[in-house]
Amino acid sequence: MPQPRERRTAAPVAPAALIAWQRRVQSSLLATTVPERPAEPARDGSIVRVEARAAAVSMPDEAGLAIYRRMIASRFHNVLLQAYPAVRVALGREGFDDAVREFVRDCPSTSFTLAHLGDGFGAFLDQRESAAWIAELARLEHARAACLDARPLGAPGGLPAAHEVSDWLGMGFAAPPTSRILDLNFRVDVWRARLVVGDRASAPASTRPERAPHRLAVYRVGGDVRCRRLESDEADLLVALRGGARLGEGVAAAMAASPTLDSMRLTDWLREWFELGLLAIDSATNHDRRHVE
Amino acid sequence: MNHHHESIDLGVGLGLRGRHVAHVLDHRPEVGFFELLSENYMGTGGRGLETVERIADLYPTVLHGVSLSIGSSDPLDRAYLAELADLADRSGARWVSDHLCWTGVDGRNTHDLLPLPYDEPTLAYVGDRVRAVADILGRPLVLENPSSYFVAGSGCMPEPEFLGRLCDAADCRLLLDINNVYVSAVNHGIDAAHYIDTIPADRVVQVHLAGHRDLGTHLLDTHGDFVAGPVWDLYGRLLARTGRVSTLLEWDAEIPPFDVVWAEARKAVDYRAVASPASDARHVPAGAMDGGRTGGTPEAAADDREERRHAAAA
Repeated sequence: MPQPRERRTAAPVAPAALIAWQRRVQSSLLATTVPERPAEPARDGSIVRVEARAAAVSMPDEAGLAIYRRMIASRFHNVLLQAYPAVRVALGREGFDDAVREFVRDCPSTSFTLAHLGDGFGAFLDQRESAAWIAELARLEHARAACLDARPLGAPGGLPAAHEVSDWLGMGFAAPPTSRILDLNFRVDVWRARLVVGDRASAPASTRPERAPHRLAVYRVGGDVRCRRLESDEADLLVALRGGARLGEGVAAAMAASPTLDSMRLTDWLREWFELGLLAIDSATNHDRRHVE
Repeated sequence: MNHHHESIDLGVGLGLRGRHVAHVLDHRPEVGFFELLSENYMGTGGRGLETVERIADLYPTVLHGVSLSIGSSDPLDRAYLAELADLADRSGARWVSDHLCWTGVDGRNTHDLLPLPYDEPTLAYVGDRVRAVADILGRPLVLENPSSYFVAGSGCMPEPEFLGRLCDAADCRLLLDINNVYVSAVNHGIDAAHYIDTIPADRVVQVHLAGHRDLGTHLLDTHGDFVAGPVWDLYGRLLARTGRVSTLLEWDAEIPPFDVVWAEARKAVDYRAVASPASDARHVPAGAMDGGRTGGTPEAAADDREERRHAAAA
């Protein structure tokens, strides 16, 4: 994260009348109640000046406020619609609109970018929706966007130079930010794929995805995002390695859980994980290793 | 203040939009400069930064933001500003602009550009913040007049006077959005021509043009249509005061193909043709607006633009 580079230290002091007026206007625009803020140190350490006799700024006319209110609601709705198109289909138009209204009321944006507006939508739906798969669908759509947004570590590479799994046992790995592993109870990826690939009108919102607890790898390939269902033992090892476990530790745990695992299968997994960008070398701990071209 | 004056006219430019990027990179049209929406390239973990760098290699760029919230009573967001400064360096932006507005308070963000009361306490407060932001960014801040749908406060000073005094107090520059002038003037029943005549012309470094929609009860600043006739007239009126000034068309909604947008933007060329050169009418300190890339001399700035033209033609 870049560091601030200002020379001055004195923080500007907000007029009390402006503070009070902005709170009233925002409260009206977001239709929420914001408690009055007393004189207190601001977040940057400055003291907010409260002038008891500061002239109040009059509230704007309601017609003008209503225009802003509509624009704000419309903007939030459009951002969430773009971020969660499949959830929109799953909930139906009215259901989605209601959910969005409640979400922006309960989880107001605190980020400078609208890109993060929908970050908590999946958790919100998890609390709100009786159909748990819809929250999982939201988590999948959010993961897809996160994979697309992330800065790649580099092009997916080959396996580190070695001939046997045993050569890699001391290696440390990292989770590329362009990939996610989701714990899911429903095949929402299949449901969503039918929705996107097929005729939208022929995918009624009343259909439900198959119930099947599994872990799903979500990963970016160029400008596209793909999904692959992971087998249970494969997922255990992959999650462990992405979490920082050395290969030796991970393999030992995997072998204990699945004694039939052999080195050929492990090698195939590793090769595929690297090719798909699900796993990368942790350069901090393996800086002297070379990649197989 | 240094009164050696420099022309920084970048010509006629466009706001870079995602659907046009491939066309621009493939065909390299003779666009004077591109304006990048700052927040599109911030807080996303890097999406689009490669595009920024490719465009910046071919064209002059400026940054334009919507989340600075210079008028908010909340403290300045230092993390945001640090990231913005980094983006400005990466893109080689000639200047960084945002709006004279507030977007939220108490840590919340409405993501809308809300008008400020143009009174003395607000003027002093915003002036302090503009200077603080310029310190962090390491370059002067350029502020845009917002479109508005209510008048904040009563008995306040007119917007041009507020802008002029703010520029003097905080040494900032202006991005004058002519469409915003017109939309606000109609909505609030003020004289748009008088607004143009009283804006501090010597502080204007960039102009925005855009379309709006007439909803009957009010004009809505949509950025989704061709520029209206009265807005073009006001643009001509402004150029008579400023001389040729960097001019940019914004088209953000229902975005048509690149050629349609560029043809609309190029209408500005005719207006600029009858205006005097910027250096005859406008006064900006040397080196103030070159993003630190050229060393501050007009010759260096011209060379830099020329290099970019050669790169574009390659």
